[in-house]
Amino acid sequence: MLKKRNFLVFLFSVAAIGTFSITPASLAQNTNEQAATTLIKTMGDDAIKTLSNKSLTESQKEHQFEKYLDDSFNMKLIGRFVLGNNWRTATDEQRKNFLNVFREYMVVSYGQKIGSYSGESLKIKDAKPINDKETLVYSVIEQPNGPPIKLNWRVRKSKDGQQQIVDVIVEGVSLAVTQRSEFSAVVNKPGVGVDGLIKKLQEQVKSEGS
Amino acid sequence: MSLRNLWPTLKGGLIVATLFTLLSGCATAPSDDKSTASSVMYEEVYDPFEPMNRYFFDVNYAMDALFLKPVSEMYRGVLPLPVRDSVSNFLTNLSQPIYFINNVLQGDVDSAGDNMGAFITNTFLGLGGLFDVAQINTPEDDMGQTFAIWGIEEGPYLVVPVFGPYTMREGVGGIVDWAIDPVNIIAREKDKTYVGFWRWAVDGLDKRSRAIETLDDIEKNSIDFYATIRSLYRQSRQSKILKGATDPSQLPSMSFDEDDEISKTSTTN
Repeated sequence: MLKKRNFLVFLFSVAAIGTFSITPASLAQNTNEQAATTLIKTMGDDAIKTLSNKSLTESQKEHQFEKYLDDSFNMKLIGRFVLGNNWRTATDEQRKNFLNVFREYMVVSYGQKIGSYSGESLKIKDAKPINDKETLVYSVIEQPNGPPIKLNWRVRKSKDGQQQIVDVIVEGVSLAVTQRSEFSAVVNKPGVGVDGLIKKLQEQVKSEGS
Repeated sequence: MSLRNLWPTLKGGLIVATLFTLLSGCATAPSDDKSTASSVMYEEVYDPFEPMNRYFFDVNYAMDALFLKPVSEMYRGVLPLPVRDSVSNFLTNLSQPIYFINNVLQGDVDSAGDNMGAFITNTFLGLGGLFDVAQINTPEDDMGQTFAIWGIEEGPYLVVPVFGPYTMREGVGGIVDWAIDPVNIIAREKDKTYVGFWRWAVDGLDKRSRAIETLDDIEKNSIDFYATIRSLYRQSRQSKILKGATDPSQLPSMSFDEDDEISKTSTTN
């Protein structure tokens, strides 16, 4: 008697565990995609509001861009990816300096550009999983004077569950891949190395920041 | 049959043979000692001629600054957008036959149908192609993409004087396109060989005029303009070959084993 009951309990537990273990993974996928889409949509709406706000100065807009960068982008992971092979052989000091200057470089390179958009709207089209942590969000920028621009966002869930952007792909061209290619070309020039790259980026930041 | 009659055929045969030799060099991937490097440096271009390429890149840059860019700016400044759009439409329409041929060669029947449909509609209803009546976003397929679909590897990156960045595969593809383009063939038969040149020149002008600010921005932000253009070129070719779709599974991995190291590395604000 006891055996049968235990067996039934056992069966029931297995069934219960089985059910619960099938859904969370797929649920997690869907939640990932939804969360990623929400991130892009929120940021997009916010960005458009900021940009169309005529009362903000250029530097205020750039400041806002910095906020987006720090909140929504995983700058550390992007920086590490962009340094590529050279991350492994870099010292802690070099890594720290690189991440710092890389962040500044991103702000001066793209902060200005953000201010030059007007009248465009961001439309989210789709979201597909890349793996269990990452989602690809497909969106389009519709311009009044020109064809629509395809813009894809690679969004990754961090250890603490936060969704962050790790790459932007414009018309099939990945920002992260392009920068990695460019930076590695600079590092590999004889006598330059990671320190040389950091110096070059610092110079770039200085010249563009003025 | 006299030798005189035989010569055109021989010449044609020689050209084809040379092209195939060049292409077969691309059929083999770069040597294996690059394989570990290339698997990590995913998407890195094979650039064995880099010093020469950088030199020609500088040459092209100077020619652009001295000639193409100022002319493009004038072109854009003088002609209103609808006129320039008509020029662009006309040129695109003239290329539909070769796009059609390439899509057929790739086995892409849907795209080929688009090319045919757009060509007929725009030619007859769009005043010879000046107006894009069809409004289909036709895939602009060239022989370089066809070769890619056929499995031929890119081969080395080449910066060609005047013509700009290419890979061996795209370069050979461009030559073949020029030779088999129906519009060019008809023009040659009617002794109007300059048509091919003018198509190429005006197309270059049109494209340059639409990319002025974009290229300026890219240059302003880059710390190695040559490497940036090389990467952009290759990625945009990849995108065209995949017909504009971004395949999630093809993206490089951004997961690193030592994830903890990143959180340990502090950044000062």
